[in-house]
Amino acid sequence: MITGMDVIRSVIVNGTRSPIIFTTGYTCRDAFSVRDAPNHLYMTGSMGMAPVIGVGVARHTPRTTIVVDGDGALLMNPAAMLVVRQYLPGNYLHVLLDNGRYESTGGQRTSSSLFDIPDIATAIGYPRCTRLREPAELGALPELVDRPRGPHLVYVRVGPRQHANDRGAPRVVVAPAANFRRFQDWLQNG
Amino acid sequence: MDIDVSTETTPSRLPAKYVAEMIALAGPDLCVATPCGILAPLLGELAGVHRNFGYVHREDNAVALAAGVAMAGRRAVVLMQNSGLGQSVNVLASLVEPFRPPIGLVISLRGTGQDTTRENRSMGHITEPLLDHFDIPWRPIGRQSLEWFDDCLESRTGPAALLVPPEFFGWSASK
Repeated sequence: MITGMDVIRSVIVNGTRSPIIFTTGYTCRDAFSVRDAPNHLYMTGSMGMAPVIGVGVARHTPRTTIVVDGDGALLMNPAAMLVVRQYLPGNYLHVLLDNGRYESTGGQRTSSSLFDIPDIATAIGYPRCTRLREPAELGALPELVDRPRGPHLVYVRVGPRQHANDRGAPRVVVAPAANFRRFQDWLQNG
Repeated sequence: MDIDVSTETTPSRLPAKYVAEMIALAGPDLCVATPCGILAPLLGELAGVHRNFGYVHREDNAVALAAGVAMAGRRAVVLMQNSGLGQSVNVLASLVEPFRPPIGLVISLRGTGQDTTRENRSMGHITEPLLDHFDIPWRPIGRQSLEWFDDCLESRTGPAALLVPPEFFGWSASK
């Protein structure tokens, strides 16, 4: 089974020319632990808003904008998908890691097993949804970043963390205001 | 006539068309609203003067969208009722306050002045303290504060808000 960390690592390696917005919780922290870079925006709060911020960014850059999201965050603000449909950015890759858990708050179960998230996204109007099931399928990411033909939902059912006592990577230490300025400067000049 | 901003606590009314043109003058790349009876005349005029004016279905989503536009180095304005400011508290607390994106907010003041509707009273009481708490500078809408608002968007120093009292564009509870 693919792990969330596999996907985050692959997005970072293949997305060096892309603005990447990471959702709150362990996703931000895992990304920061892989590598810190000026094209990363760590949305350390505002659970559920990463895809919406991504739409705002995507409208003003020709680069493929990548959002790394989680099932808990998307279920908290499914309205985000309506904003994606409303603005329909072609250069938009919405990577959804579904582990069925609110991992960073202690592993409580989400209700994601009740829903087929790609079906919901398709019904809302995402023109493309891709499901990645096996680690080898992560090989599709470079092509998805190069030609997203979006908005494109990339849905990955990921396994739980290896160890029950895994408390995640250290917190992101980049100050939010500095993260914003750095990200903006990179988008305009990088 | 110039109006001293410090005395604009009960601002004299301005035509909605003038206010719309002043907001459009700031050149926002994104100009979005959520519905509001107080702002209705302004929203109608904005649809005429701003090419991409539109509506987003929830205030917190509108603010996050504006923050994304600001993060791409562009200008964004969101118009909302203060009930929607309540809806946006988490986004203001964990996105706007820490990241300081230079977005413009135009917020109507239900539950203040002649609006005595019971359901809006609490939000009316806390709108200004809430903005103060989030370190978002605000001014009552008026000729000078509209220029200040445009300056804030242009200089990209951080978020800024204009507050619109119920009667400003002619709203009344009996309508």
